[in-house]
This record gives sequence, structure tokens and C-alpha cells, in this order.
Amino acid sequence: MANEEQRLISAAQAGDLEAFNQIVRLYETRVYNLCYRMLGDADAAADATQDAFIAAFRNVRNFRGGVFKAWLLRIATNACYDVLRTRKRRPAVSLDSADNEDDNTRTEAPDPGESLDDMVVRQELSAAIQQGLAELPEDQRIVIILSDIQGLAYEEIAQITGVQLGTVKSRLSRARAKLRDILRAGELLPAKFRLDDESDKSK
Amino acid sequence: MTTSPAPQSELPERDLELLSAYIDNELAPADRTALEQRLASEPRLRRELAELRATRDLLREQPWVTPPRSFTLTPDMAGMRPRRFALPSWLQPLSGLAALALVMLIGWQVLRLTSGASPAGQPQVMMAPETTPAAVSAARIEPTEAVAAPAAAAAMNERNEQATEATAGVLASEPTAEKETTVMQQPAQGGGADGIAPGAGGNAGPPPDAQRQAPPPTQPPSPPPLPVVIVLALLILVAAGIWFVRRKAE
Repeated sequence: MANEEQRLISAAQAGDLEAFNQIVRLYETRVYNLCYRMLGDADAAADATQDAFIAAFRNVRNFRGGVFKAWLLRIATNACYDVLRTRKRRPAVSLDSADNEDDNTRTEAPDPGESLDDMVVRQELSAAIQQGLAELPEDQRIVIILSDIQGLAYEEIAQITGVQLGTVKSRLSRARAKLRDILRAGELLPAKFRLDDESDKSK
Repeated sequence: MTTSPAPQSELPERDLELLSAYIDNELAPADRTALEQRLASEPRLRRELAELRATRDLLREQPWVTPPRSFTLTPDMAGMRPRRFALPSWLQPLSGLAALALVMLIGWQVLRLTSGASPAGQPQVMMAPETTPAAVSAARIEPTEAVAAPAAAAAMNERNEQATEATAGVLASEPTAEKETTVMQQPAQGGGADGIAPGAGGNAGPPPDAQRQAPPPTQPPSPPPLPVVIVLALLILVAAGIWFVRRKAE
């Protein structure tokens, strides 16, 4: 797998677009999900993902070994920051896209054995998580997405975000704490913790 | 935007960081042992740990969103527009050769203009084919008419003699006289038919004397004939055109 990826990268570096497109197929879901969680908007995420792959192709000659996934996700992260910067300059656009967000994004496969109540809770939780992520500062948001949604190790996250390992740890802990607070306030944490919470308070 | 007021964690940031790293198994052994001892005795710390872990697990359980489309690149996106005017690969080196030819031609012209062959050198060039026609045409006629008209042949022989005399004269004068002096003589001999361009005057109606001024056939580096220059120029133009179109296409 790693050898095949290396072969595709070498071919792409020689200008082979088809080889690069095979790399795109390998990573597009990961890159799109990073952008979607970072931007909270399907259309903006698709644009950022496309921009990231275009930038990656143009710069693939500059990739000098290392972890390709980290290199690619760094480009994707920068593409997301570009979108966020544009939104700050034109806030109306971001509000509009945030309003439209839920219309066309959630494409999770429904579990056939899931009850209606469970489905409602799951959707509520999903919306709360996305809302909670949106409320986090960008530097914390990217770290918690890379760690807890993308499942990357601290070292990889440090590489992607270009910060020290210690900074990754502190940003991640703050992001988790804030998100925990949001979920707790929405009573979305699993019941046993809420019960623990109640019993703890009653002590 | 319905943000509920989120209660802030009461734990110091340092403890949150320890708990967060503990969840990910990223604590150094010493820190880990110290934290586990505290966890055993501090229920609030245990609760925080459980909540943070639950939060992390909820995030991990979030299903990945399916991308709405494929993000593979078209040649256009990759900045690789199809080349409509691409040369066959075996022809491509020709553009380099054409560029070389252009440089050589320009260099040759510059050298020619700056190395003594002043504008007046032009008449010499032009006269070569124009002043010798007498001899040349005579030579051409000779095989056909020599038999039929011996008188004409004799006349032509006379002319040829004149021409060779003239050649000998020029050849003799060349080592001593500069080309410019030869040229300077031309206006006087050309009869001033065209005061501005004496050479052209000579071309328009070469007086008998003009033959004497005809450059010797052995004149050193004679320029390439006009068709070669035209073909070279055309080649260069085509090469430059192709290069420009390809640059634009990229």
C-alpha cells in the first residue's frame, strides 16, 4: 500500500495526472470530512477540498518524502483557513451558508434497526457537535477534528498544524473541555455521566 | 444560533491537559502514575475524566460524511490545457534549431554590416548577378548559337575577354585598393543615373564600363542566395509563432 502510494506520488511528481487522481480517490473522503467539519458547510467544504487537491497537484513536486497524508491535510487545512478568512471579510456569506448547511449535507447511512427516538437523539447530537465545533476557536477546532474525528496522532497533528507537540496537547484539552461543556449543557452526554453529575451534586 | 450557556470546567487547565493526554495514552510514565494516584482519591477528577472520554468517544463515533462528488482533477483544473497546436515530438527539436538559426542569421547580418562592408557593399552584392549577365548569358547562349552564328560567338568571345580583363583589373587593384575606393569610383562610372543610390543606378542601366567594376567571381564570403534567406526567415517566423502559441496555451 505504502509502496503503491509512493509509486503514485512519484508518477504525479513527473506530471502524471491520472496517478495523482488515484491519490485523490484515496484521500478525498478524508480531506472532504476535514473541510466539512472545519467549515460546517457542504458547499464551502467541497470548494475547499477541490482547491486543496489543485494546490496539492501544483506543489506535489515539492513533497520531499515524509507522511504524504500529513502533507496533504496541511494543504487542506490551509484551504479551510483561506475560506474562513474570506468569511471574516464577508460575514453575510458565512451566515447564509450556515443556514443552508443542513439541507444538503447529512448523508450518513441510517441504521435500519434504529428506533425513531434513537435517530432523533443521534441527529440532535450530530447537530450539537457540529455547532460545538463551530463555536471553538479555529486553532482548537482543527486540532480536535484531526485528533478525535480523523483519529490522527499528536505528532501528525503537530506536523499538519505546524505547532509544537505541547501546543497540540493544550489546544486539544481546551477544545475537548469546551465541547464537553456544550454537550453537557444540551444534556447530550451519555446518561450515566449526567447521573454521575447529579449524584455528585447531591453529595 | 442557539448557544446554550456552557458551564465552564472548574478544573485548572493543567489538570484538563493531563486528563486529555491520559485519555490518548500520551502521558509520560511518571505523569501517568501520579495522575492515576490522584484519580483514585479525587472523584471530581474521575468525573471530569469520564466526561472528557465520553466527549472524545462521541466525536469518534461520528460517521464520516460522504463527499457530494469526486474531486479528481481535469487537465484544465491541473493547469494542463490540452495543446491544440502541439508539434509531433520528433518535430519539437526543430523549434530549437530554428531559434539557433535565427541567432546565427542575426549574428551574421550584424557582422556583415559592421565589418567593413558598409552600405556600399550592397551594390557589390547586387551587382554580382547584374553586371556579369553579359558573360553569363553569353555562356548560356554559346552552346546553342555557337554553331549557327559563329560571328555572334566571336562577339561573345570578345565580351568574355572584356569581362576577364575587368576581373583581372579588379583583382589586381584589390590588394592595394580598399573596397571602399572601388565603391567610391562607382558613382562616377555609373554616370550618376541615381545620385542617391549609385549602386542602384548601375543596376538600372549598366554602362559598358560597369562591367569593369563587376566584382570578381572569387570574391570572398558571398552571402547566401535570397531564397535561402527567405526560407530561413519563414522557418524562424513559423517557429516563433509555434513557440508563442504554446506559451499561451500553457
